[in-house]
Formats: sequence, structure tokens, C-alpha cells
Amino acid sequence: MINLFNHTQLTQDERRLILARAIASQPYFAALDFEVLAGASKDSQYKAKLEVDKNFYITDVRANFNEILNETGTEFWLSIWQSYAGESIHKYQRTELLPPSFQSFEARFNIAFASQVYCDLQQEICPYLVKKGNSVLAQIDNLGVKAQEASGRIVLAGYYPTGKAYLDERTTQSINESLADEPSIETFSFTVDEAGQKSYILQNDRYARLILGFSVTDLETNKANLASSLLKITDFARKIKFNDVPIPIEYFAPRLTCLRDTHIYYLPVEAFFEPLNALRFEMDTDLNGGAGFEFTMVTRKV
Amino acid sequence: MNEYELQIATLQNLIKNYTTFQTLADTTRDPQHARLAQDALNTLNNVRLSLGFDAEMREVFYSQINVSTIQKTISFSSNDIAYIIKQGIAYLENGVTLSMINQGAKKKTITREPVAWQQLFATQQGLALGQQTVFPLPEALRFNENQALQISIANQTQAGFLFLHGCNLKANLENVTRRDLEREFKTEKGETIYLPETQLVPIAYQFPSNVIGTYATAPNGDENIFSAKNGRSVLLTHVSTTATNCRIDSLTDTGKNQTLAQKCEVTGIAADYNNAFTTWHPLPYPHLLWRGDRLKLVMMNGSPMQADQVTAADVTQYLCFKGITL
Repeated sequence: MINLFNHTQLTQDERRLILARAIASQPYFAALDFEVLAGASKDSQYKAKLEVDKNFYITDVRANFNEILNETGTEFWLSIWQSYAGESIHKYQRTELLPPSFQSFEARFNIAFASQVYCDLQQEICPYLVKKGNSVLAQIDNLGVKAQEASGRIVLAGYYPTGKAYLDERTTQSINESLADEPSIETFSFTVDEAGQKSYILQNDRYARLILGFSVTDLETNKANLASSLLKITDFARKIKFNDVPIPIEYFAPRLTCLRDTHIYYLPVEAFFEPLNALRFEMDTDLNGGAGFEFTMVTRKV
Repeated sequence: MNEYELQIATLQNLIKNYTTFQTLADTTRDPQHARLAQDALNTLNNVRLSLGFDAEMREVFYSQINVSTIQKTISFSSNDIAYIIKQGIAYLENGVTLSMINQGAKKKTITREPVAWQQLFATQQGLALGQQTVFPLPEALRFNENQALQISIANQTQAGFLFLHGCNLKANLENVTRRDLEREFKTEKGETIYLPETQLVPIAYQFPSNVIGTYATAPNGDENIFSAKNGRSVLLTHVSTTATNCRIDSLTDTGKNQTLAQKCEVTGIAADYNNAFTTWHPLPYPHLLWRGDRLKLVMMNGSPMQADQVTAADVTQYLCFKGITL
């Protein structure tokens, strides 16, 4: 994961290489949803499809099937494959269903300490190429008891190589200023305490930075009062979107309650945060009777 | 994170570099970008070659030691060749202490005073407290062919278990050369055929009955349980399981005729796929499963460690390895 290669002891060459990669690529999150109907019987199968219009490299798969298992007792097995290449993204018999934990990590929403019955550690796979024009298909199969209504979801996190990027004179100058300085880690954050649709802006200062990952601290500890939120991230200056369809926040950042949990989900690749640029976070929040949460973005000066 | 996991993370990072810079070179036609892509590709090919060599020099083993209530000193050695013990899992009582000595012609003390077992070993997964991911010993313990590991145990009042994860060291690479490994991912002209990708290698089985001691069969009823064949050689790095109440009678790489585990509880080897802390246990060192080779599993129902609990009958279970194509 990118946290292993982004620290404050980097050499100039390493910094330039990471910067060049960040400028020529962008992280992207694609969701595949499965609406499970209440009362669906055992062996009910659901399929979802993702069309890919640029070469897309998948670096991790996040899912919520262990949470569904925990909440409803319904177990789903999963298979994910690329349609035209005809192969599973895990290089194992194309449509063979396997437990989701073999193929994904859990996007953890449930922060109740005693209820942590699944793994929430971020796991990365070797970047898997889904070629432009291909599609990714996923299928789940209900193995357990009769399903309750649930929204099964996998999010394929990865990156697009974007090719050549335009850098204006001011940005280039700012990059050089940052490179002349020591690399340093800095966080940006905002508090979400209002329900409904609202946009939040994180504004950069004059230094060029790299966005490394996101974290969420819920202001509630009572599980019944946890806020839920759908999130869409847009970079104003570079005109790129991290995701096209709003995705629940737990796919971007783990819920943080205690020290033994994962705190941050790192991005598939570093995202370039131009000087004086702003990132827009469009949120659709349901406070569920709680006080909301704090959203934090971790960055490094290039 | 152990050293080979860091190497694999480096490999993933280099793939990101290569794919990004290659796309950049294709769009800009700038030789500098092409050089960046080629540098990343060369380095990543060297890393995978080094991972392949390292795996071929080692024969991974899992060993279960039964700790009885009477026997308090245990001696362990492996196949009369040099070996390394890298990590371990224990199922011992809370207040138990261990002393370890490298028992050769000359004694070498490993623990000066008895230490709590939790200082050295991970706890067997499923207990409420303690470290539940396998973590390496403070330092991998290396033994020559004439040396044994002596472990003295104090304060244990009931039967317990210790699982040692390590590898035998081959004296030399017999039939494998740099060329053999390189041919896996490079053409004769030196062109890279494919980039490493994550691969799952599951072994499916099921028990005909939920009686302790019953041997598993393949889901189709066949007595022989094999993993599927792979089109590419795979470096196995992690293992997980859907069934924790059973015991591996033997786990063999049929291509190399190498036994990885014999008479070993599953929980001493693999993580529970649905556990709170981790779903994968790292192998002590990567195991190279060559293209076309298969793993053979002989599995027995029931686990004395879990108070003779058994796994349900007629349900397909998996022992699943994860790795990267070389």
C-alpha cells in the first residue's frame, strides 16, 4: 500500500518518481450493488456488472458481506471476473464462488466493539488490468438462511493511468518550492453534523501535496446512532472524480473507535493535490439521531 | 509485516509505476517516460526473480508439537538438514513460561530466563484475548543439521499445542536455474510475458460424516483431494480456511514431492476466514507452486484442540492459499 512508500525520509529521486506517478494517474472507486430481497431463499443468485471505458487497474476489493452475515445471518459467496478476458480477477476458475473474505476486505461500518466479528484490515492485490471496453461481472450466491432485505455491495478500488497532464507555471513553481522543502505529513478535516445533502470543500494552501488516504471518527459510540453517509469526491482543478456514483463512506475510510483497529484506508495511488486547489466532498448524510462524524484526509507535501 | 510481504508490496508499487509510466510514454512518446517505465519493469522482474529463487531454496514446513501434562521438555529438529524456525502459534495456558535452547554440540541459549509464551508465539486463533495474527519470532532461529531446538515448559497443567512454522534449507538449487525461473515470465528475447497478479489456490473438500476421525473427500466424492492446476507458477504467501475444527493429516506439493504439513491442526496453520482480526495467516516463507503442479490434501474431521468439535458433514469446505503469479 502507498503508506509504505510515502514517509518523511524519502530521497529527492523517490519523491520525484512518486510525484510523476501521481500526476499521471488517478484513484478511482467503482461500486457493484446487489439488492437482496427480503425472504429470498437459499441459493438465490444476484449479478452485477461494471463497464470500463478506460484501462482500469484494480488494487483492492472492498465488500460488506460479513456485515450482512453478522446482522442478518445470511451468508453470501462471491465471484468476480472480467467478461471478455474470461478470467477471475483472482486468477481462479472464472465463476467459481468462494467466501468473500478470500477475495475482499470488509468495509467496516459497524463500530460496536463487541460486534467486530470480521476483518477490516486493508488488503491490496497486485494491480489487475481491466482493459478499456471490457466489463467486470460479479455474482453472489446466498448460502445460508433466508435472506433479510440487505444491500450487498462490492467496491473495486483502483487507478486509471491518465497519461500526460497539464501543469501551469504556477503549479510547477509550487512543486519546486515543495521539493526544496522537507516532505511533511499534514491532515485536513471537517465535521459532518448536518443531515441531508451537503458539499464540503477542502482547500489546499500554496504547496503541492499528495493525498494518501481518508479516515473517519464517529462522534457517537452507540451503534444505533451512527451516522451513515454517501460520498462523492471531485477534484476541481484536475476535473477528475474519485467515483461517479455516490458510495457509502465506509468504503473510503474505516470507522475509528479503538486503537487496535485500522484507522486509515489508503488510496490505490497517491492523488495529486494542486496548490490552491479544492476537493469537493458531496455527502448525503443520515445522522440516525447521533452527532455526526469527523472526516480526515491525510496528505504529504511532495 | 515480514520481509517477503514487504517485497510483494514493493512489487505492487513497481507495477503501479510501470503501468502509469508506460501509458504516459505511449501518449507523450517521450523517451524519458519510456525509460522510467523500463526501469520499473526491470526492477520488478529482478524482485520477482529474487522471490522465486528464495522460495526455491527453502522447503516450508509446519510442525505440531503436542505438549502433554507430564513431558515438560521437548526437543525439535527437522529432517537432519539445516532449517529455520520463523514463527509459531501456541495453544497454552495463560501463565505458561518457555525456555528455549539451541541444542547442538555446544549449547546456545535463546531465552536467558523463562519468558511468557506470548512473547514468542502468536495465540491460536479463536481465543478471546491476545495476538491473533501470526507474527515472526523476534529473530528467525537458524539451526544446523546437527542442532535441535529444546523447549522447556513450566506451569502448563493440561494438554497443549505448539506449532512451529519454518523451512528446511536446501544445500543447492538442484534442477532449477535462473533460466527456468525467468522463462516463467520472460521470452527468450527478454520480453516480459506478463506482470504478477494475485492468485487464489483453494483446495475444496467435504466430510462424509461429522464423526471425529472421518477422512474428507473431494466434493465429487473422490478420495484424493487436489488443488486445481494453475496455468502459471504461483508464489503462495498466505493461507486461510473455512473449517477450523479439523486436522491436516498431510499436505503435499505433488510436483516437488514435498510435505508441507503432517498431522497438524488447521488452526495452527491457517486463519479463520471469518475472524475478527485477520482472515489470512502468512506462510513462514513463500512456497513456489510450479505451473501445472498441485497440492494434495488429506484432511481428518474433528479437532482435539477444540474439545473434539467436528466440522459439519456434506458441506464444501476450503483450505485456501493466496499468492502471486511469479
